[in-house]
Formats: sequence, C-alpha cells, structure tokens
Amino acid sequence: MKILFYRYGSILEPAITECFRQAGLEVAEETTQISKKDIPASQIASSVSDLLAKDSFLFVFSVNFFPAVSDVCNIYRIPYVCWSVDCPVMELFSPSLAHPCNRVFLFDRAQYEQFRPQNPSGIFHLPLATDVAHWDKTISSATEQIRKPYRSDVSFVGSLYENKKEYRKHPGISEKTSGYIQGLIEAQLLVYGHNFIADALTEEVTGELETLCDIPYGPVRSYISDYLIGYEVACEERHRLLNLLSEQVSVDLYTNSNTGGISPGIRIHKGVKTLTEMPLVFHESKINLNLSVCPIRSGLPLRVFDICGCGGFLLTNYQEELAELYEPGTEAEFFTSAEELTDKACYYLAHEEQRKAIAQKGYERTLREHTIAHRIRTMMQHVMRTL
Amino acid sequence: MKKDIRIVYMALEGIGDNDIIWGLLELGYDQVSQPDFMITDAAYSEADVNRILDEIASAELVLSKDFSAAVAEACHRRNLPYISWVHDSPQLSLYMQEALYETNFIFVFDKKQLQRLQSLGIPHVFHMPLAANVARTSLLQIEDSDIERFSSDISFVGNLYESAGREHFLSAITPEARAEVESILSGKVGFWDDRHTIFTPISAPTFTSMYDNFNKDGLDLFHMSPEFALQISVIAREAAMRERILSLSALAEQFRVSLYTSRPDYAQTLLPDVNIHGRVNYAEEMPRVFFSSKINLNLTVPSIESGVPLRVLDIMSVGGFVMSNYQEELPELFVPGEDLVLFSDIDDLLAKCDYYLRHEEERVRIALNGYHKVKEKYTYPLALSQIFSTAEKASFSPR
Repeated sequence: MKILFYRYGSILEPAITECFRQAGLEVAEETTQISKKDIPASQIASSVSDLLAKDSFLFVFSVNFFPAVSDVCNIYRIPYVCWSVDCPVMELFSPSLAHPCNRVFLFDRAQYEQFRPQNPSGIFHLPLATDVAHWDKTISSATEQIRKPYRSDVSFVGSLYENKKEYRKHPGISEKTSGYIQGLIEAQLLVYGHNFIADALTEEVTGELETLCDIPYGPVRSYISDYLIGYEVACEERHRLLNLLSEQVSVDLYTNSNTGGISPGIRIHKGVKTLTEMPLVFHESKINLNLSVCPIRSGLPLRVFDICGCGGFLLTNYQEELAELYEPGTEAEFFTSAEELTDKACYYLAHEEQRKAIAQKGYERTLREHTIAHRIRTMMQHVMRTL
Repeated sequence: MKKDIRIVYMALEGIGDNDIIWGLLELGYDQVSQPDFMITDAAYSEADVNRILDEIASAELVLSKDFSAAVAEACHRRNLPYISWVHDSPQLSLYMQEALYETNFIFVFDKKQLQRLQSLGIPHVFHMPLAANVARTSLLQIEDSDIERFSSDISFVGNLYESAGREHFLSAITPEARAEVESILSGKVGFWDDRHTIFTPISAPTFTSMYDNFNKDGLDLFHMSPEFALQISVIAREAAMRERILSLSALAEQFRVSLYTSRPDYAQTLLPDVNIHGRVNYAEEMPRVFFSSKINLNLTVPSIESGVPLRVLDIMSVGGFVMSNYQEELPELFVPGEDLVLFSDIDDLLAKCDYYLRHEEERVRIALNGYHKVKEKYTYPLALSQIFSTAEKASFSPR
C-alpha cells in the first residue's frame, strides 16, 4: 500500500516518513515545494493531480493543511490526511477545509474547537510530539568537548519576534488605536491560559489596522488578533520575562532575532541547528524555558516535547493542555506569572536532585507517550476507521 | 442617507453605461463625480491605487458597477465605504483578497453565487437583482425606420462564446475526458430547470486531463477551487455556445430569426438559416432591437446559476416581449405567463414561440405587463435605495 506525502520542508517530515515506512506503507514524495517556496496553488493542484492520475494511493498526507491539495483529493475522492503543526494558520479558513476527503489533525484544542464545525467528521485533535530516538542518538554521540559550550543555568531557544512590531510604527496609526492595543497587550501579558485578544478587538481598531496593514487572503479579524497583536504579545513577553529573569539568574539565549532589546546581562548566542545543536542545549541546560506564542491558545508547542524528549528540565508558561500531557511538578514545571517564573527558576537551580528527577520523569513520559510514532499510530487509527 | 453625500462613481473597463449615475441623480444625490479614466477589475498596480486615492480624496462613498480590486484597495486604505453592484456572475475579482475588506459592500444578483462568496468569508455580500434604466429607455425616440431596420419574429442579442482556444482545448484532452465533457454537456444543454446543471462533479482523470491543458495564466490571482475554475471557464462557455446554436438553429427552421453578435461571419457559418447582424450598441441600438422584435429571446449563460440576467430587464424596459429559459430566480421577480414566458426545453421553446407569434394580443399584453413590472419594481433608483439601506443596516457609515 502506497501513500503520497506532499512535502514542503517541515522539520518533522523525515521522522514522519520513517513512521509510515515502519508501519509497512510505501511512501511516494512530492518534494518540489521544499526547495521552491511560494508555489502557486494552480501548480500544486496540477502536480498533485498528475501524481494521483498515474498511481493509486491509500491517502495523501502533508504536514500542515494545503487547500489546493485538498481540492484535488476531493475530486479524486481520496482521503487527505494532514497534521497541522502551526498556529496561527490562515489556510484553515479556506472553504476547502469542509471537503469530505479531509482528515485534518490540529494540535491545539482551542483551534480544533474553532474549526470543527466546518467539517465535524474530518477534523481531529492531535497534540504535537517529538522524535526521542533521534535526540538520544545525537546526544549520546556528542563528546564531552562538544557538549561543554552548551552548558547553562537557564536557556531559551527561539525567536524574539522583534520584527513583528513594525505595524505599530506605521505613521498612519492613531494614538487611540495604538493606546488601545498597548492596553490589550498589557492585559494579555498578565493572563496565562486564556487568549482574549480577538474578542476584545473593537470594530474601530480592526477597521484602522485593516487600512494600514497588508493582510493576506483570509479573515481580517483573525489575522489582526493572531498575526499582528498576538505576535507582538509574544515579542513583549519574551523580552520582559528574559530580562527580568536575568536579574536573578544567568540566562543563555539562542536566537537569530535582533537582540537590541535584550539586557546586557543575558548571554546571547546565534540560533542553533534544530537537529544537531538544539538537543545539546536542552540536554546541557539546567533549566529550559518554554514560552508559547500567544496565538496557541490551549496546546503545547513543539519545543515542550523537544525539551522533555532530550531529557531536559522544562519550565513552561501555563497552557491548558499541559496537565493532560505531563504531570506538573513531577514531569515538568510551569509558571503563571513573572514572579512565579523567577521563584521557580531560583528554586530549581538550588535543588539539583529534584530538578534531575523531574527531567528524567519528563523524558520517560515523552518516550512512553509523546513520540511521533505514537501520534502517527493514533492518526492512522482515525484514518483507517473512516477509509 | 443625506442627499449631499459626496459620491465618486468609478467606471470599470468594459462597462459602457452610466446607468448608476442616472439612478443616483434620479434619487436626488447631486454630489456625484466620475473620474475621467477607467479602472481594471482584477490585476492592478500601486500606480492604479494612487490614481484612485487622488480621485476619492474628498469622497464619502465610492460606487461602481462590478467589483474592482484596485478600488477596494484604495477605499480600504482610506477606510471609506465602497459599494459595488456586480453585473457579472461569477466575477473573478470577487475571489481576490481585496473582496474580504470590511469596507466593501458587495451586491450580487445570483443567490447561488452569493452562497459561494459567503463561504469564502466575505463580510459584506448581499443579494440584489439587476435593474433597468427605465428613465433612459422612456426617452428613446423610436421611428418607423428603426422598426423596419430591426424587425423580426424572433431575435437574440448575444455572443456565441466560440473561440480559437476552445477547439484546441477539446482536441488536446484525452478521449475519455472529451467523452465525459460531452456527457456533462448533454446532461445540461437544452434543458432549463432546477435539475439540469453543469455543476456536477468532474471525475478525477478527466479533471487532470482538463486541468493540464487549461490555460492557468493569471489564475492564481483568484482563490477558487480548480474544479470551479474549469466549470465556469470551460464547461459553462461550451454549454452556452451549444445552447445558443441549438436553440437558434431549431427556431430558424420555422421562424424568421435574427442574431446580433460579435464575429457575425463566423456565426453565419454555424447558423446558415439565421439572419446574422453585427453587434448592436447598448444604449441606442439594442433597445430598438428589443422594441422591434415580436419575440426577444433570453438564453442565460449557465455560469449564472440561479439569477436573472440583465438582458431580461433590458428587454422589458422598452416594452419588448421576453421568451426566456427558466432560471430559478425568475419566478421570484416576475409572474411567468403574465410578465414574460419561460421555456424549459427546445420543444417547449418552439411550441411557445409558435403560439405567441400567432396570438399577438396576448403577446402585447405580456410585454406591457413586463414593462410595468420593471418600471414599478426594478429600476435603478429603486435598486440603489435598497442597496443603500441594506449597506446602512450592515454597519456601513459614510465618512
């Protein structure tokens, strides 16, 4: 039995292909988009339809949802299975989401609740996961000398999203709107586990931002709340929490972003290679921070699973789905305010044994329940049931 | 809405009339201006937007017949309401990102098209049937010489949708795909009711063969499914062409039939028994054709899924008798058999033409009813005031 994997270059793709192969499926791949970004929809439709015409497949799979792929699968009456691993995603607003051929797996439950009415039998919730075997291999093969530079007390790997604030520097933005957004951001920064930005946007604010910003195809309000304001919240949050934390403990930051707004006390490194260097950071840091971007309303981002899968100690902002996937205090730690972040960071730096025990338990839980193979198995069960 | 509101009417390329301006003036809006250039409906440049921005600098409301992405972009930047009344169905530019702006108030005449656009998430899109400029047609002086020039038993004004690309396309697709296209067409051509449609699923191999041979230049500007793109640009046009040839040639066997169309030489080879004439202009000649023909035929292009095409209203607005194919929304606007006559297949068409050519009194009465109905209910001032009140209810507030 053969499946068609429409690839675009997600870091998860090779591991997923491996899982399909281990499940006894033959995997044919369409890889044009890996090297050529922004392929027009008509070309995606054309290449997928040519492939489907030539051969028969059990289903078509992709990481993330491609409306053009769905359109073609709908014509071919062949299941289109995809695992959406990003948030926010404008493609989910496409009318193609309603096609009966779709089996769309969303990692964020709030996103799932939002989109399920569009296609109740074709949309599922499936948390993210990680490739523990790969991390094990990378970490165990690294010599002491290679690992050493990655040692740190508290580390954070990720973007600072400082380029996402540009829209507020637009000369046309009114003081009133800018002030409203600032207030909204300040309020959101105080609240963990609930995103209220979209609900709090007034017509006046969306109307003004609409005229000032280049908005891609899709609903304007979602774009403004998730892409513009949501990322700005993430930007503010990351700057403030890292700077605050650095007043008490030593912090290492790995990022390709502009670090102009970061305290001089923080040790800044350039971004790490995901497959080879990142696991060493997670493994060698005493505490690994996770700061979810605000548009992820309930789910856990990939970083959480990667940290735990590398045997690292995780200290994450509170997310609704955390307790369903890891036992707080035993397998991972969380915080619900800036104060709690600093307190817990200090506490766990001072309590090595406890910290190591939690990291070990988090690793075991990941290995036991949260590998990509687990997810592909769950996904296949849903897919097979509805073939 | 206050009558001194400053309205800018944008003329789109390909729209030859200014009937909306007539309607606005009839309603008493006296601050209406119109730039001296025309704008595209779909692809546009930053220069186009700037040119429009200059024109709408002091406007409180912008209006156009059909939707222009460039105008929508300019109005969106100025946070200015933009009302477009769409006369094409489907109009491709409505599948562009600019259609999603909250500053747009889009009116379409086809309810099925309305549903398609709503499913795209367009925030302000409404249903509004088309209208006729009765004020203009009432001013026409029709002389005996006009009637002599344009008289016929049955006439049809419209294109045959033939094109060089079409034959090339049909010969390039696989024989199986060709056979399936023929089967889709034979399930629609010559049948006008709620069951027969070109919007049936295309099988997978046929889709691939058609899509591979389909000219996709510029298509990615529009967010529509590839299947819908094939249906409206290939199958609908082919069906329209065949329906027109089939209907006109069947009628020409029994009656004096005139066709006013572009590329008359080519049309003559397809329809040897029909009196073929070149194009007539919209404001002067076309109403004279309608007035001078005993029966005016309406054959709706099948991409208009349920709505009433403009031709029906134009014919009625000069007191012409309408013999139209059945369209789902026609009975919502008119009473069949009283205001106009509907046919559902070729035999029905032939029988009804025969009957109404023999029964002049009934024919004239129906034509008169149609004229009165349009004059009372489907004029530009009436439609525009409904458009304004709908837009106002939908949180529209002129600047």
